[in-house]
Amino acid sequence: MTPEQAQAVTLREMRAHGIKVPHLSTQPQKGSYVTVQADEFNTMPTIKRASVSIVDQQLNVTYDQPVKRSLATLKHQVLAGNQYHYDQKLSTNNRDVFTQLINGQPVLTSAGQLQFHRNQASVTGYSQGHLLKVTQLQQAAPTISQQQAVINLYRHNDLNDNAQIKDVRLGYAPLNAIDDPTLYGPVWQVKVWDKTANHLQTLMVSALTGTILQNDD
Amino acid sequence: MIKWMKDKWLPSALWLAVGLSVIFSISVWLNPYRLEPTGLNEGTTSNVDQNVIQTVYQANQVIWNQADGSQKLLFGQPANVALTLQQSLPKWKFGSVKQVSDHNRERYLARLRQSNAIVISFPGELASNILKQSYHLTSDDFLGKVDRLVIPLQNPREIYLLQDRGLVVRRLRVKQSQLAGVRQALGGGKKIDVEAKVINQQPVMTFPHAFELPNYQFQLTTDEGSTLATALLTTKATSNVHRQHSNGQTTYWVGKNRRVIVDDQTGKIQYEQYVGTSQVRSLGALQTWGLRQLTQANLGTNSFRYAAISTSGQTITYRNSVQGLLVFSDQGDGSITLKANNDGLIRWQFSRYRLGTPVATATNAGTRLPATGVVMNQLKEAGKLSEIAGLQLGYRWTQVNGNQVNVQPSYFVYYHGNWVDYKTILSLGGQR
Repeated sequence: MTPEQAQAVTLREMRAHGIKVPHLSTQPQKGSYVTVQADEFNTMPTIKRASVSIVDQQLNVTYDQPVKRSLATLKHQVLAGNQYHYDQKLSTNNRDVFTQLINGQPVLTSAGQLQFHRNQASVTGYSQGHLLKVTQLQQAAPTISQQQAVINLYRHNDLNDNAQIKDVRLGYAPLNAIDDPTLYGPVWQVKVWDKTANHLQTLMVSALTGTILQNDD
Repeated sequence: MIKWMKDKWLPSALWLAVGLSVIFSISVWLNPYRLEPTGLNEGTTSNVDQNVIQTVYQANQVIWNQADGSQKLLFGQPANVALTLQQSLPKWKFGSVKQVSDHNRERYLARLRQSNAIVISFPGELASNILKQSYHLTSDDFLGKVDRLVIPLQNPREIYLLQDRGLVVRRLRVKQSQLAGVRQALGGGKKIDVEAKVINQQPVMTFPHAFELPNYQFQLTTDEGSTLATALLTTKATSNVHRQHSNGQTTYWVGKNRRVIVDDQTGKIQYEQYVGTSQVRSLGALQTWGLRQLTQANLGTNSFRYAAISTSGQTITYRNSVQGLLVFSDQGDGSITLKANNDGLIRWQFSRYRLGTPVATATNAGTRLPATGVVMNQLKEAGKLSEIAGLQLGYRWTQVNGNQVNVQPSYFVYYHGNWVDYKTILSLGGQR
């Protein structure tokens, strides 16, 4: 049996367990290990008509009054706002998320995200993590494929019966946030709807090694 | 009666049984015989994950031949030129292959120095079928055995496949190319002066000036001997792994023809499997077989790269790599050498230790390497030059500091069948 056939068998097995899997790419991407330096926001920015706090390298701004300005305008007023790119997949009805990019891929943790909090048509404030410096440690290497990432989760018993794979995307995240929060690498972020728990799970697989990372749920 | 038999004959019978068992065990290890299927068997490339072939059989050197004729070794380009090319090649269309010269030093050198091109080199020959899969060279024609690819950087109508042995040049027609990403990938990193030469019918890349390359640190990944042994020895048919510790070694075995020996002190591991049949594999078959074995060793194929092959010895070696350059360790750490069953016995030699994730260092320390000519002169003065059969840049696995490994760049020379740091050869002095 070829590896491709073996993967097809595994996918059929997953479907037999009621796990819904969308079409997934079998092509590798590219990624590399990087170290990051997070902005400590040592100098508290002065923002008019807002209260500002810094907690765990996150700048939190709450406007005294909700504002009705465009996100482009608001982003322009944010520290290093031009480094952030709108991310539709991370955004929700009450949150517009922008991410910094590493090697063209989104930063999947709040450490590199700008999130505008919304109350209907108004913006009530924002929280910002900012990666000041990103240093690539090695040249780019091939990643495992999107499909392989999902299969690894299944083989690791991380997918319950009747789960639904909602989204699989490549981004950057810490590989071991506890021991070394500054080491980032490419990860496949897999969004899974767990029917049993009635809960959307976020699972992470290292894209360079295929190992399952501690999920951030 | 029964009691009498138990008293008189049972102890003797028991000792006889034990004695025969020992004799048969010794006999089995000394005399190979046919093995029940284990899954570690022969196969075609179709049995190996395509992505794994592409990851493991990567180039270890990229040279950029500039328009003015100068040559630059590319090092540390963030986008990885060889990988960028590899991932762009599925969009290319190829035509026929034609051999254009062989045993012609000038024509071979002309290709190696072709201006406005990149020269992608592999650590050893790649067979046609492996090259087609790892680099998507989807011509119907036979590509030959290839050590290097020469890719023109502007509207290529052909690329050249070079085989060092015999100085063979083959031309592969290009009908459609996609190079924009490759040209972009050339940015960043270091570009080190290099000169391609052919010395004694052997292509060599020489560095005319001293240069510096960075040192690196990595987390040490340590595989537990017992875990590896269990993974190697357990099959659907057999899960009862025996274990014996003696003289600083732990031996694990299943049945009568497979065992793993772990040196508890050095971390070296040897796997042996009697298959009972002898088979001499061709280059391509050996490279395919090696990859299947590597996949099943469960060491993480993404951290190993093809390093060397000997069809006469039926061995193939994979090593950890740093920025594309191979890593060499005096203890064999970060490497695996597989010997196929040309004598009825499959052997693996590897280590519990390999490179893990890179570690950021506070300083940007590097190692300055002399020009190649200086190295050659030093080896000549030490009386060793005539014993050297090859030269390459690589990284030396040096000290282990707790859970970290330092690697430093150096020249490695091929000395009596092994790649050795040239400084080690110099320290041998006049010894033979």
